[in-house]
Amino acid sequence: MILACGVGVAAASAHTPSSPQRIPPELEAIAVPGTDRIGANSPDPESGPPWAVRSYTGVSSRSCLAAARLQDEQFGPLINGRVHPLPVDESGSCADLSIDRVQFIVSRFAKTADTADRTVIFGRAEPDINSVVVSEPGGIHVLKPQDEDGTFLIVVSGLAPAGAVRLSYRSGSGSSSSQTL
Amino acid sequence: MILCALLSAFSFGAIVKTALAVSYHTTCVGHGVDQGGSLTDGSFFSRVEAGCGSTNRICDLYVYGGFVGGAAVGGTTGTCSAWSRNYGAYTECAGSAHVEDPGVFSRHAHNVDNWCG
Repeated sequence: MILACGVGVAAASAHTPSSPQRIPPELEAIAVPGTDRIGANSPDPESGPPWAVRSYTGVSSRSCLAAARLQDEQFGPLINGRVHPLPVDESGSCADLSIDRVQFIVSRFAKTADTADRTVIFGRAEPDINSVVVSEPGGIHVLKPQDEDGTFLIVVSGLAPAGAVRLSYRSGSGSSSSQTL
Repeated sequence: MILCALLSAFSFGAIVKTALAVSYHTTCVGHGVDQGGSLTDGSFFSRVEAGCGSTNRICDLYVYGGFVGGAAVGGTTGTCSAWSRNYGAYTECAGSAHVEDPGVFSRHAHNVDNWCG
């Protein structure tokens, strides 16, 4: 069986045409100038600058979010003890909040010389959602989206495994939903 | 039986080779590693677009075969996008995107076009 697989892979490699297809860069994450703002933030579980959510409106009118460290008004990765600014354009994952109601993202940051493994759970909620409940391996957290922009964020140590983070909410109109990432 | 095994192995080999050799393509939704306008500026994305009934997507970044970071995005409209620059300063030619879209395609890797890893 193993020999058959090896023969198969070799044969496929010889016969599969090499024709890379490039798709133009994602344009939706280009920012409408002036729409970026720093929203919800939370201290790091151990040390260093806090983490924050940056939101902006993409040129496609979608809500775009990114999470990173925040230091002296600089938003971006922590490298050699200093936060390096991350450009706004293309920094976010974008979604249509009018359809999804809550934008929910789990970002995992592998350890570096500056930080241990981190899982950042964040998002943005429509105005009629007063709180979201986040369940992760370390506990359950009730978060209140910020009044100004609806963003929320929590940072936990380690890398949460896939399928280990759950978000649920109930809106002011009574609808409810949950997602697992 | 042997013919079936060979046929299965050929198909598997074709899928693996195609995924690694192509940096970004469409299997119902667009996904892969996006290097933008430059292959050498240290800026590259792991990306999975929304669509095809998906309710969650995973886009991870690897450099020299090691995980550096990534994202999982919920909902039906969100693009999963992980930018190398949000995780640090990395060698672009050694980058790859490991992507997954449950119900649409299973986890697999895409190397950058100028792969040197």
